[in-house]
Amino acid sequence: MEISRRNFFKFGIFSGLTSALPAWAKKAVLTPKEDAPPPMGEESFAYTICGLCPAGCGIRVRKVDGHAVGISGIPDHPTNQGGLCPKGAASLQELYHPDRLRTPLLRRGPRGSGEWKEISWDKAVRSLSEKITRARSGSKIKPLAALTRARAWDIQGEALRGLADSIGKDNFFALGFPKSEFPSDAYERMHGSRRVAFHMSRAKLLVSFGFDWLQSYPSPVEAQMAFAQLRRGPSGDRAEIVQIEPRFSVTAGKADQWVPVRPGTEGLLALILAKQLIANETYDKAFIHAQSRGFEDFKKSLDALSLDDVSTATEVPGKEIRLLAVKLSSLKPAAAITNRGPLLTQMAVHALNALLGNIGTGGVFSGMEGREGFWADGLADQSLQARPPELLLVDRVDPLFLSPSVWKEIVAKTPFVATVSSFLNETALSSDLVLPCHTPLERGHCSFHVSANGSAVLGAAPKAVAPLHETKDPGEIFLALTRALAGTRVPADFDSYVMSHMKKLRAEKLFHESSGGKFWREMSAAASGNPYATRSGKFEFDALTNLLKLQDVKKAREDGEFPLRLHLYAPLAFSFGEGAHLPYLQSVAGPQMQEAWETWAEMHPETASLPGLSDGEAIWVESRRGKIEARARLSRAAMPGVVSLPVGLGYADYGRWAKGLGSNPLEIGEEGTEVRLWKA
Amino acid sequence: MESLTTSRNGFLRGLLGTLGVFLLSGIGKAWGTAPRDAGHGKRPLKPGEHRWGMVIDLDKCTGCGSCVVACSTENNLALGNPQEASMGRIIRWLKILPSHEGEFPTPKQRLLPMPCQQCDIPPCTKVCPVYATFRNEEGIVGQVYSRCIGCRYCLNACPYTCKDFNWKAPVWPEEMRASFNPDVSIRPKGVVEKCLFCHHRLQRAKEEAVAEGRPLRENDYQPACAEICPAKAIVFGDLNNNDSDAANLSKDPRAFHLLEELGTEPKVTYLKEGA
Repeated sequence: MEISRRNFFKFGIFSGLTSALPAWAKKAVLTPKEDAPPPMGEESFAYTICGLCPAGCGIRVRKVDGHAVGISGIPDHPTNQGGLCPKGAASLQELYHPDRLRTPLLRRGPRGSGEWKEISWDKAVRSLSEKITRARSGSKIKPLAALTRARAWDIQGEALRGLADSIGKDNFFALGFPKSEFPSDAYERMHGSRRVAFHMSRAKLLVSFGFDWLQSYPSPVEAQMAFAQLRRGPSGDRAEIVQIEPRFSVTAGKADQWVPVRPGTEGLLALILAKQLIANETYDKAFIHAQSRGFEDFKKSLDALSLDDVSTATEVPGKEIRLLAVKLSSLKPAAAITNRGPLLTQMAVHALNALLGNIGTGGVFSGMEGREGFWADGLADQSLQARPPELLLVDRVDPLFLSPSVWKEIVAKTPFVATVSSFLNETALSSDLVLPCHTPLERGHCSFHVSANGSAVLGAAPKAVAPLHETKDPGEIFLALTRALAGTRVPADFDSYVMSHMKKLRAEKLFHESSGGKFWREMSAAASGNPYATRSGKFEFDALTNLLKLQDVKKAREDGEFPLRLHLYAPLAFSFGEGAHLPYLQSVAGPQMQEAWETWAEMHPETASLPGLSDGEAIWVESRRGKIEARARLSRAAMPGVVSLPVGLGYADYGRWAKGLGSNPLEIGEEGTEVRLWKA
Repeated sequence: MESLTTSRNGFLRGLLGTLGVFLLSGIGKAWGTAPRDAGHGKRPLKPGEHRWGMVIDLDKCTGCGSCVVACSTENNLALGNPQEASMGRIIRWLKILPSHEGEFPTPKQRLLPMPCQQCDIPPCTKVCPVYATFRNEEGIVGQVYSRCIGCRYCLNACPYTCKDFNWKAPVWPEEMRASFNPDVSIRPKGVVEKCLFCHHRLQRAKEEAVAEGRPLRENDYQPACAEICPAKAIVFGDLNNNDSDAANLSKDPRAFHLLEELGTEPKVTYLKEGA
């Protein structure tokens, strides 16, 4: 348009008129309207138990028009009190995962080739029961070994045990994940029982030896709750938190003090602290005198240990060790915790608790009333390695991922492996038959969970949503097999099997209360009188003393070829090695370095400088056992000489989001394995 | 618009046209005649009106990431993949922001859950040419996807980097569409999105209160992150209600705001670590 005098005026008039619009009119037009939310379909809520880990939190599933569209915690559930961990919050992604298995798969090509033939459920159950029948007849080998999840009892595992019992003896095993378990081997040897309750929030000083408990605790929600209690509990007291660990972990970052330690030497540090407590005479003499056995021998066995040697081996300055010993004896009650690592570490750390006298009623550790039979434990490895079964039935666990060195051998020597799983995980991929099962939201629940503090919760709820695919409840599969094999006295369907068990537990009403009432029952409130089930009726140091005689604990072998030490940890998003299949969990796996969607190797710039690595570079991490690829991440907070890798990635399949992503460091070693690095 | 003539007809048409353009795109703003404060700046709140705020206690927070996942599920956030991750394009309305200080053997670390800070004086709304982002009467900074033209001015203006842009249309496998929260729309390619304090939950809570003929109560409305936090580190509530935990905690001696010096007056308050 030409800028003539006329046009100029014309525009002036227009703009004058428009800007003279009243303010309300402008506001009405310019401020966006908030749309009312769309009309909602029929909303309902289902109350059930989260099945993504053995903790057994209570969850509320929001359903609109029958679809599950939301997950939240149940505020008055005793385990989680309304909170949930990232895994629980991501459970919808597992339910709706596009790569869930939908039909039974029979292997066609060689094992692990991924060539399958889809078969019907009838055929799958029939062929498996025929295999078992054949395995039973005449063979000297154990016909069947059944493997399920450790720690929590559930009705599905119970059905599996029923099946195993109908076939033979000593054939029911549980697979654990030592990084996320309590030191139950120490409890067994020192208390005579695995049932030791741990009241974390009672501690005024909490010293963790290599246990990244904020991320790897067996019941994640309880750990976060306990942390908040230790920090800002109702009493107003503030507990001191000390983290002894090779990596500056999430827990170390949140702790008051981080003590970097060479991988695998935490036990040695605990022993020298014990020696310091004894030498300073700051241990609880009354407790040791009245409630322990074998103290003098234990004391003698520490003679060979010198502060200087330990300081060199652990790389913790002697001064810091001495100060730590003083701290331990001055802040009461103090608790020393660790995970289910090497036996020596477990026992050495728990011996500190005895020296500090905080075991017993009112202490941080106490006895726990328990029910035999509710406790499965993962010690399958050795016995199956020595004598592999004819047939291995795996229930919702992935031994080939969690313990590849041991289980590759067992699986290779087992003629037939059948796996019950919702996804094609490592074990399913190497199986001969894969039976697809419901995800936790589609399953009926009847399960028993014991908190660390000894309170136990029995919960029972029907399925939260109707199954999306032609999958089956694991319990249903085991029951069908039992029926096919034994026939008599097996309930006709899984529902009546569950009800018969609920009747046995006098809990049949719980099912009906899941529509909103309390569908759980607290079974016991911890603390039985005597925390010791040993023959002496006391805390026993003997097993630790004997182990010390056998092992040269000080040795710190230097390896010129593989100069670095491997440290492995389990991020909360991938607890128990599971979680990489859910994209929302991938995103939160490594909060400290904002690392996600790959395997990253954390190291100090000094460690990286020798092989000439820079931040973000693709590298190989190699041990004597093999090598894996990772991305180098340099951190000034890392301990020099240590390479830290997360466990939870490195699946060959496991759905589209996990497939081929990252590496599994368990393939090349364990905690403390010697490694070297180079550019990929 | 066709060329104008001096006829009466043409004059009126022109007038209407200009008015139309003005109304539709808000070009009045470019002339400097539009009131820049229309719904944008700080204004006195009517007594009794709600003002929603959040308090995050960093002493209790463990950086576990539950809030991030709960937020993602609640708001139908795009799933993410390794390529997006390597380009820093994973969209999360609430992130755990790490920061580091010092070095081995005495490093320090802070893990800070970072939702939209819900500023009372939001820098992002001021730069939006189309009024797609605005501060509503209850203090929540909204984002209207249908108005957003994807210019990303707001994304750059936000000092907290709490806004995300949809570079691509989100990919949803067919099976996963059933998991969508029906209260939250799926964002298309080319728009900016952000944390809205689970505004849809507020709307549902209000609907319910109206249906039951009662006023909105404290705790009727909680965003997904506050609801799920296992350490109970996130407290949410009405800052105008002196009895609410959120209002009281936001006055705690440990309280601070991020980049306070910018004068954005965030309604997300942090409580610092330590006794």
